Amino acid sequence: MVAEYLSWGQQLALDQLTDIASASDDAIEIVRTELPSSEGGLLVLRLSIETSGYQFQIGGFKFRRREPIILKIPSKFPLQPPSANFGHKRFLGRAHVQWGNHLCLYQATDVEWSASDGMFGFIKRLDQWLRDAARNQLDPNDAPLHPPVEYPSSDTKFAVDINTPELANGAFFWVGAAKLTTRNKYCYDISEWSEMPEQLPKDERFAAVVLINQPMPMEYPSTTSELLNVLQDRGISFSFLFSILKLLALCQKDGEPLYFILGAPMRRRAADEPLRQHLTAWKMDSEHVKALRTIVLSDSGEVTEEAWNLILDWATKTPTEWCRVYDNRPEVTYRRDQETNASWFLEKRVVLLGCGALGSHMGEYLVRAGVKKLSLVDNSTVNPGILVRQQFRHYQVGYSKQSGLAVQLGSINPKVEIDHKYADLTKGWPDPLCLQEFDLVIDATASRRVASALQHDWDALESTPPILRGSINGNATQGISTLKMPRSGFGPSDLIRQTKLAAFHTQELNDFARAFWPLEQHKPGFQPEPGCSEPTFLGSAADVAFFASSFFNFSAYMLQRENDDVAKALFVSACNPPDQMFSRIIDLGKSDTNNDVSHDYRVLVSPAARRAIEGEIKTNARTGSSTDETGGLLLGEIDDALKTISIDVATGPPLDSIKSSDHFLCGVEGTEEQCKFYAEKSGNSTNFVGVWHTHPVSMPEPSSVDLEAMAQLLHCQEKTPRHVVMLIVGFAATRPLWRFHLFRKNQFQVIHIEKGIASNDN
Amino acid sequence: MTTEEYKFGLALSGGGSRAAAFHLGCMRALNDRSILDQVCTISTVSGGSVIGALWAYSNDNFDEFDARMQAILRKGLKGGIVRYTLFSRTTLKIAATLVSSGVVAAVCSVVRLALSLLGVIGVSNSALRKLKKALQAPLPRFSSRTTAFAEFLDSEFFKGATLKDIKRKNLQIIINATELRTESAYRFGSMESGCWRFGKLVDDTKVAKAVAASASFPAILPALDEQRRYIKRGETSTHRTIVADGGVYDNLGTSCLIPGRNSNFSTNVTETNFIIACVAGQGIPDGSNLPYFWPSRMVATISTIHRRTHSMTFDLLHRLQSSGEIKGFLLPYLGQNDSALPCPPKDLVPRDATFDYPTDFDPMSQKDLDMLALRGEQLTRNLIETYFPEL
Repeated sequence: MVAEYLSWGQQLALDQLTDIASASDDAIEIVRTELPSSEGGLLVLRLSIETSGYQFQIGGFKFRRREPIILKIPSKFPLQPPSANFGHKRFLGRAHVQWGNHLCLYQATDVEWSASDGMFGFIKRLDQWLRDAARNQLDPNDAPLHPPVEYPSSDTKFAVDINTPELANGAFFWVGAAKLTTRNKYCYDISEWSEMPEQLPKDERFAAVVLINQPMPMEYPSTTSELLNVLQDRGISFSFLFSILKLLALCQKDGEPLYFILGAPMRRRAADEPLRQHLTAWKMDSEHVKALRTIVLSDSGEVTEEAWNLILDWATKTPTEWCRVYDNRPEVTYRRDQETNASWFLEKRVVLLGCGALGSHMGEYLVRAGVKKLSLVDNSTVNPGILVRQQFRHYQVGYSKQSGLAVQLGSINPKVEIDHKYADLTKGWPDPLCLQEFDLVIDATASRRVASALQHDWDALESTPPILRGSINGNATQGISTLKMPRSGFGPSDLIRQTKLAAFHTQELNDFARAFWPLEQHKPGFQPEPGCSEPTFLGSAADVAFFASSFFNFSAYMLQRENDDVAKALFVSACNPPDQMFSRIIDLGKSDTNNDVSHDYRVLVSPAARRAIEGEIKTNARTGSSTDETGGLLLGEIDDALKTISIDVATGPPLDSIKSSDHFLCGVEGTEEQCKFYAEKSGNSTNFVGVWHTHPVSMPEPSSVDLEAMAQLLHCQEKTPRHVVMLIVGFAATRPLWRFHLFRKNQFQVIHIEKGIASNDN
Repeated sequence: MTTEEYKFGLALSGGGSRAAAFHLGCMRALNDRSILDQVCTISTVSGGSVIGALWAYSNDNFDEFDARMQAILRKGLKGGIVRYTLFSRTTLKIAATLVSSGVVAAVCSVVRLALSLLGVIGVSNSALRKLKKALQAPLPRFSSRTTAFAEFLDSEFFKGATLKDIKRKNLQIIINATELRTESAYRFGSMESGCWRFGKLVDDTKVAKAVAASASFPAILPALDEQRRYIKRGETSTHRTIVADGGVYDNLGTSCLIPGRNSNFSTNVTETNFIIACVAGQGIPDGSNLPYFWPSRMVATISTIHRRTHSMTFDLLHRLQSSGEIKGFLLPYLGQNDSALPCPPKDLVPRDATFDYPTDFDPMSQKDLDMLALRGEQLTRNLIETYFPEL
């Protein structure tokens, strides 16, 4: 023996195997050792393995008492694993045996092979394989089936995304044609299955298809004659096959080969699933296709004879040329994003408002997640500067963003129905789009004007699809996203306000509050083209992708789990610096909507205000009398543009208030401090908007005393507001009935008489 | 967040009648906001146990409870304890205990003292040490002022109710005490009772006894001294149990509401995610106290240890909230520094008017009662409005 070319790893393998053999009590014997004959060559060891300990079951491998196994150990062992072959081909055609004698020991070598275990791990795996093979447990019922193998020799590939046709009950086979579309110069898509027609259109490309009801050998035939025999055994006679091939040959163009898609029931994803077709593609080269055409079309005997000779040669002497099939059929594969957040989007219809930084990234996630329909809306164009972070291409400068993005996204997933529309969203919802057709609206404009416009347009709707919004701060270090479920009752603009209050009220979110709602604008926003561009944020493509994916996952997570009446906000800070990532989801509460009876304003009452009022009514009943009126201030905001009154806080009665059974005079002591406190706490969003009081035993209608109080508030103070809300809780002692009244300054006509002021409700 | 997602735990601290009055005010504010009925667990200590147990083991509405509680505080508990000690059938038991268990313990104590003196003069060996250890109060204190206190509470208020007889729906009560032998927390509860060293009590306990034990401050009242049966890891055993005021271990009553406790090692593990800790402590001392002799030094020492425990607990609550382990907490604190409140009510009863009310169970004037309760109510309402207005 010459050990000149034995690598240290092979020496290690030899030593380890010798140790194993000597400790095996003769169960493993090294019969022969062939040292590598050249640098980098294989160390070949012939083993004899005792198999009497393996329990045989029907269908299992019948081993000899001592089974010869040939190990080939590469020079890079143990970094590379050895291989094992039987010393014979008795198991040709069995699952998990390739090329007639090679044991398929590892499904995922990278994961399963451990270099540190060396030959000890390898022999253990070999022992387990032989044990399972004897018991017919290599494909246990609770595991997916090992697919058969064919050895591709053609450069042509096929991708198939659609399930195969079902064989009729009792049928031996299904015969038809597969429509092929060209994906690229290497790959065809099987885009449609069709029954075999009388004639096939010549301007389209088809492959012949035969799906049989019996499995093929685990190793597919390597010659045409073997293949024909195998098919014959499975009910596909040569003449039948020949007639299919002839028909298909007629529709192939000159110089093009014919493809034959062969399916056999040899696939299963998981236990208890029915067997599905395993697809392979067999290529008949153009010369033989031409011969077939000649046989069909030519009248000349000589030409036909030559063609027959060629076909005879093909049938008896040529090797089978198999093509690689990329199987992506739902019936035999799993989506790589299944059970992830993104799986919610499969087959959903989404409208994406804004195709800029966030929108262009989110668009990609949507089409990759398999949305059914995507509508893109924007009104800006691609300029060179935005290529730094938006998902457009160099050649697309000058395109409108929505059309450019549609092209980009269509090239990722052409199955998605993508349409795009040029529209200025600050004017509201684009009319031709039907809101209720969508499963999700994504507002990626980060524009408060757009939010207001959408809220204005959707004001009358009882419910809208879920709405996702997202925005990024000035240096792309913090992002906020909100998701409103259909019946949360908040509009897009309401949500911005709720989010602001949440940011100001939660200590750990105060940084977000300052970044997104600065009390003073210290410097103008970033202008990439100074003087001639809209201010924008400063951030890279990676920064934008971080926030886009965070918002995308946030929405998907919520959409999968939340009830249809919630609204939540995600606050997330980016990894810049890398140790400061942060995220928090805040419940924005549920809308408690009332209507103002006098001006048809929408009134949103916060749970805090409602509970404060209910609490004060109870306190009043406990400490005084339930028949005494009580009340206090209302703090919040009035938005005339959206005709919305937000009540955030209700205070109890100021100390100098006067309570009695027929009126409540709201005092002022301490109210200035209270108003200041809440204004500061809310980033100036919660200010005095009005007063509330109870009518313990009467209707919630303003009395003359109430009207006089309103007149005083609107006309007789140093700084009088333009309008004031009055909430009256009628029948407070028994069944409280809330009613809001909005009073405007111009509703009251001030008439100066000798003493005091008369009020007159217009 | 909606209030349905909160699991409120209400801790009522120790502090005699001062605590009970302050807690009554806190409970008024909680009741006005409809939070009191949502409380899942009440954890009580000493004076807090009196009001907590009276609430949990009654089913009257809040106004009736409020009036009853005020009447009890005005009358005080001290007279009842004295009456049941000196003029009840317990009196004879106490006397019998003194001449049996007490005399034996005294004799043992003298012998132990003698053995200690031998040690001082250099005569010491392991046999003597073992003997000294064995001569510790061999007989339990069958009856005492604390058992008289329990008898009084039982006949006046709890009428024989045992811990499992809780009246409020969906409420669990934990009455905190301290086991002095093992120097560990001892928790009487409507779900279970015991301590981690001995296990869970096999037999139920009268509410009155649990309250009396929880309020028997060792400097004034003897500890409850009994043989009780416990089950631990499936095995039943009897342990002599010496239980005193819960304030010795945790005067705030929050320890059993802290998340992350394991029922394999502890009793009365709760699922609280929002802690309302009503604390009747005095707050920051003004420095006028000058501990000179031994008693005043010891009082100041105990007070300092208590204060340190309090501040660590306050800090823990903040940390639990910021880590998300609890959704929030409220801490109405009698000794609250008023100037630290962000937006206090104009008519806030000031700390100075209430903080130094004594922590005994003497009769309380209506004025003191009103002041203490109003401060509790105002602080609780203010904290809710400022920090958790959605509650």
